[in-house]
Amino acid sequence: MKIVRKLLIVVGVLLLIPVVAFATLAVSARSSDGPSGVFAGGALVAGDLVTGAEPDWSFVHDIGTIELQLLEPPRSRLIWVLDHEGKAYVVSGYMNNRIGRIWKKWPIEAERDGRAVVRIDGKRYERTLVRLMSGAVVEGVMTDLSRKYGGQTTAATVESGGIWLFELAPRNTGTTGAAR
Amino acid sequence: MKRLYWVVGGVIVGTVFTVLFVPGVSEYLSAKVLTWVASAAS
Repeated sequence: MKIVRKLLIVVGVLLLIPVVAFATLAVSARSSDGPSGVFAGGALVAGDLVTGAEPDWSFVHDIGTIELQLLEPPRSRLIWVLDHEGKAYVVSGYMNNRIGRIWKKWPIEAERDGRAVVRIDGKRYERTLVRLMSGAVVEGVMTDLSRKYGGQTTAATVESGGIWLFELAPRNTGTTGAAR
Repeated sequence: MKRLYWVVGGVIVGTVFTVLFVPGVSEYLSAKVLTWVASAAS
């Protein structure tokens, strides 16, 4: 009986290690300037804020991930980025299944309030996330998504809600995070 | 029993410090989590 008890204690302590490790990562990321891998980070503070004329977003063509922070709530995460005809887009996959909905809260938050800041190569840009659900641009962006990150994604996946697609629109367009 | 508390406390503190201060550990764990979540969701 004593051996079983000791064995259970050892197993319990061993299980404690990954739990504490992941909890530490999640908590420390929340208070940092930017995300830590898969864990959401705090507000994006460092980096010059880019203002002035709207940039040609084709410069993100060869950039794998960018840091995206919503103003409400002020949490940041790493996210794929796409460019199409000079505009920038971000996507969130797995939105049609339960694990995806638990994992991905930011698209729902972005639809409520699309004001965001993105940080690319150390520079910050104020943006508004505008969800796109249909239209010719969706087909083009999905083609670019397949080319850049692999997989077979089509406009139908966006229309069915499996992938949520957002344009990184300028902040001063009067748009919100609502769909169009 | 008191010894158990010390062991558990030591494991927690050791894990926290390892994750925070040992280079590469946080990146490794983040990659692991991302792999697990992505495979579970797909």
